[in-house]
Amino acid sequence: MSDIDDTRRLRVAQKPVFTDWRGLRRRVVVAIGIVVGTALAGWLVLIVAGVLLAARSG
Amino acid sequence: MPRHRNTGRPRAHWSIFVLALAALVATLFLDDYARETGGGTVPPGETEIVERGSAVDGPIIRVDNNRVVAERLPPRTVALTFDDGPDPVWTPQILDALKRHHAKATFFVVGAHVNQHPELVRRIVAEGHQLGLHSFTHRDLATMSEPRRRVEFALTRNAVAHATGLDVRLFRPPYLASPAKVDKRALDMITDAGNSGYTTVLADRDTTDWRRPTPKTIANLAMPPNTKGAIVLMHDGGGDRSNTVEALDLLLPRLAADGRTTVLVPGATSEATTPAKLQGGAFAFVQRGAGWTRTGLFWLMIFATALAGTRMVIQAFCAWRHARRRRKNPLPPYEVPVSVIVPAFNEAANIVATVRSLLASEHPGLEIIVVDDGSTDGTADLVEEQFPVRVLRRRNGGKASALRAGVAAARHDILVLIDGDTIVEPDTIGMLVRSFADPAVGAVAGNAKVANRRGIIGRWQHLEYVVAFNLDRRVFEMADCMTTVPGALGGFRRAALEAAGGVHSDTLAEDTDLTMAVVRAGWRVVYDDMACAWTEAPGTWKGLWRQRYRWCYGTTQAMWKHRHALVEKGPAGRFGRRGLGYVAAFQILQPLLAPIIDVYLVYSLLFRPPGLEAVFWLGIHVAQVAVAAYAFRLDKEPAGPLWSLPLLQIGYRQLIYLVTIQSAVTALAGSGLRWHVSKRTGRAAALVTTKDAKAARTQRLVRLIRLGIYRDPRWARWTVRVGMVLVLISGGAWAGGMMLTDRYANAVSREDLLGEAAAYHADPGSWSLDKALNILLIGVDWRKGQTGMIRSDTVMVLHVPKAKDRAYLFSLPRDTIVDIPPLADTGFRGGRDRLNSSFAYGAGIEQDRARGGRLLAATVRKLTGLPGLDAAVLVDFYGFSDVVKALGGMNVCVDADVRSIHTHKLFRAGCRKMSGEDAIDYLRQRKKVKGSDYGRQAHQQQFIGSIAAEAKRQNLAANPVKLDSLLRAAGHAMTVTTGPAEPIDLAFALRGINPDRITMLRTPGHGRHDPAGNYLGEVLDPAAQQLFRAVREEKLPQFVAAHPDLVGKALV
Repeated sequence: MSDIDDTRRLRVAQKPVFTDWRGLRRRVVVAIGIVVGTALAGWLVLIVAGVLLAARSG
Repeated sequence: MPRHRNTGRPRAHWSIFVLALAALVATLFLDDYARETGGGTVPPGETEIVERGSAVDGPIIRVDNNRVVAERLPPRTVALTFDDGPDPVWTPQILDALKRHHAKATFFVVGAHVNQHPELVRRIVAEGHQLGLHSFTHRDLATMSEPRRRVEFALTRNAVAHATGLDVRLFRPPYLASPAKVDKRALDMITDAGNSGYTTVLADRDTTDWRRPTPKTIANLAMPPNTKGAIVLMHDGGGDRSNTVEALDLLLPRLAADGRTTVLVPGATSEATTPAKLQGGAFAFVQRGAGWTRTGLFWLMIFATALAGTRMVIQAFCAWRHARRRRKNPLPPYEVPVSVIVPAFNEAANIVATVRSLLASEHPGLEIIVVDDGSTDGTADLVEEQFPVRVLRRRNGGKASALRAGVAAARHDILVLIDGDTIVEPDTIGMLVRSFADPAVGAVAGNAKVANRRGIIGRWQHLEYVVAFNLDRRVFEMADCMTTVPGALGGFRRAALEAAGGVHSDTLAEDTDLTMAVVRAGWRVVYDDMACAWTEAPGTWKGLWRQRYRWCYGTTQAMWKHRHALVEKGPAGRFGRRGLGYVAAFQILQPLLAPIIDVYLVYSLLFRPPGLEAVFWLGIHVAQVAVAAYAFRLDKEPAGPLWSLPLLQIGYRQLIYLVTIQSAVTALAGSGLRWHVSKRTGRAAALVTTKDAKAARTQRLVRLIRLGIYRDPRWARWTVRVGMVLVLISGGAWAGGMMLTDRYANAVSREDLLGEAAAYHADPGSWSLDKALNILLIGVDWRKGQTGMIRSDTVMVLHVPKAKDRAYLFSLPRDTIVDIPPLADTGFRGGRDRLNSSFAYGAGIEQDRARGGRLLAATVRKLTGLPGLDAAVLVDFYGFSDVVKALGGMNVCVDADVRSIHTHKLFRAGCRKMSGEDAIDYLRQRKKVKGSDYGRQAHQQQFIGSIAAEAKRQNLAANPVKLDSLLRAAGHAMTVTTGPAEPIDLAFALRGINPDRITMLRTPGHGRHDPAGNYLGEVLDPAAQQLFRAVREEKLPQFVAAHPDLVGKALV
């Protein structure tokens, strides 16, 4: 990104709202994301596998 | 000092988003698959074409060493079987009835229902009954591909294995009840099933309880007529089975009294394997989950629709009140000194036009301060060279700090903050500051308009500014909870700024943050729609994404920062609960729900028949257009761009909610976000430099409209209004008419029943309904599943004179010996036989009813000498019983006691109301009826007249619900041929015939016997030939006068 677009430099005393300097919140969000993603993938696999196994066994 | 953090934008959540959408679509497909379970057997009126006669001679079919073996039950045994369950209402009642009579039965269960009600299946097994498989979704397995069929078998077997732990190998295919119905395709399916180890179980006695005959009829049909063992077919699911439950209490004692034993179908059951149980359990789990998901999505759609509807109602109401308040209390000018602060970073494309427009302002005593925030494109130089205004040059520190510098340098109490690309009009500043005459007002939001409206992105943003932003500001002013004074154009009182603590830099939406702080400090913040300024909106998708990402994230920051307002008292609390609540509900929650709703709606619209979802979707869009039109009117904007409002749903709306998701994840993950500056193109500046003539014209037009100077000519206004009303009325009438005619036209099956016997066959162009008509009526007494030849039981001709004010109906005895012409289609070479055989010869073993109709029509034409037949109607007796049901029963007068040879029901002499089944049963009787076939003909003629009379008596034309039910029932029971005309045109042509103007005529004839006294058939008397000549020559009134003995009487 060129300087002409990126002009905002944080130099004021106020800490921006939401910014998590230590990264703890980010790690929690990532963990939740992994759990949710795994659950969704598992659900999808259950549906697809259920139909495919039924088609094979008959 | 906090260290700087790597503010990479989160991206991984998009994988979860895509995965969630894929899972949602797969879940919806699965739920649809499991839900589309049929029930009963083929609906009335439909036929099944059986290619050959029965290929098996017993109902219990298995494959033994590649050989199909069909067996029967032992004599005097009866196996009761119930299909289509388990049903939570009827299966328990049937189990209770069986328990009362100590009987056992076999339940052929549908796999999808097993997964929904496993406890019922366990109860069936626990009470000693037997289970069989009836497919997973009750679809016709014979028409499926082999892999699909395997899926049906496996899912059902696994479902039962999971519910009960049993491996069930008995099987009954849907829509195949009797061994007589087994054709080649069905036999292949049964053989496949047998090779896989299944025993197919059909039935000897089909009670057709799915049609809901009376319990007595069901019990009669279940009762075997002889001592042979019989498997009886009934249903415990797929509809209202109350009559079946009652029938059991009649049937079971009769069976016991008759010395018959109820048994289970022979077939061993073993323990299911663990993999089968696990697979069954897993599929049951996903099926249940899919069901909950669908239900949840439905209610989510209701909620989202209610949310959207609520917002529109609030917007419309508050906007109306705001406009009314402004109209009733117009604000006078307020001439106070004003300092205009213009923070600018690299605004060379627009700054000259901005400052020039400020200098052209009509408001006196204007101080203009341009704060250059470290531009690198010469912005400050441009201003200093050309204009006598103050320019503050500083090192880059961001917009908030530039504003703080400008406020500090300003001299006056009233401050107007605008962006470096905002073009004001001469009266903008004056309009903005007039609200400050009220000392309670701390800030005023102006009306920022999109300058670059050309192109779809600019047009959509223009729509959004007018419809969403400006309407919301009216809502916020009425509720005293303004959330944003736009940075493009806002006025502030210095005291309010100081009370708010000045402009802060801890959010990316410093304008929202400042406004919220001003409101929380107790100041009123209002919106003046007359204070207009023009600003440049992003012209590319990327630019739009970045801007909205910053706005959404910044708004979320500001909301979080001021969250304590939710619990505060006074103006702050009012702002918190109203303002923050409104933004949270309609600007955060609603966009977050939108992708799920979109997927559900699109799926429903594409893959499911139109239902409630389509209604909601359409309703919301119509309401949106209405609210948008009102917003445009309030903002005094030309309505032209409204045409693209529906297109907003494709692309723009999706970008907004994707931005909201991205902002939410960024906020949650604490990633932070940098400021991005849009690339300026000077489109706003072009307004005042006449580079963009069209945009400048738009600006002038909007100004004229805003100032109330411009108005469309009256004739144009009224033309539009009248035109819209006419379009609505005619469109509604057209759509309604099309729907109705389509509904009834498609309800009737149409085939060519006349062939060369049609009057229009030689020259369709010269044929019309405006002449005397001869309509062939064919009644077939044939039950689906019956093999062998179909014979026409009833043949009538309805003659309608040209005047269409009366009609004559005569029957042709079915046993009349006639010359039947050859029919090349079937290879029938012609011959002499009974009349009803001509239909059979035509239909052949394929049971092609259209072909049968064509040969019968040719035979009738030859017999009667008519030049041609104009239309034909083929009626299925069983389907026609639904017509009687739709009428609520028929009044029938029986002339003498007669017992039905089919159901053994005794019809006593006298008049009574009969149900559809009873009426058809009575009309089928011939052998025990006085006059034999002639008596039956008379009854059938009378029945037709009575149907018409009953329909007229009930005044169906005034009862659309009942008329609809009757027409659809009639449609299902009939096949019609009307040649070049539509069936509805024929019906319309006959509308003038009253039932009491239908003359029933008996075709005279006598039986012929051989010397041994054996009946050979009917021979028509000479009077019959006179009748036919009278029909040909249209001299029936004279014939009737000369032969009063041939005229029949009404049945009622």
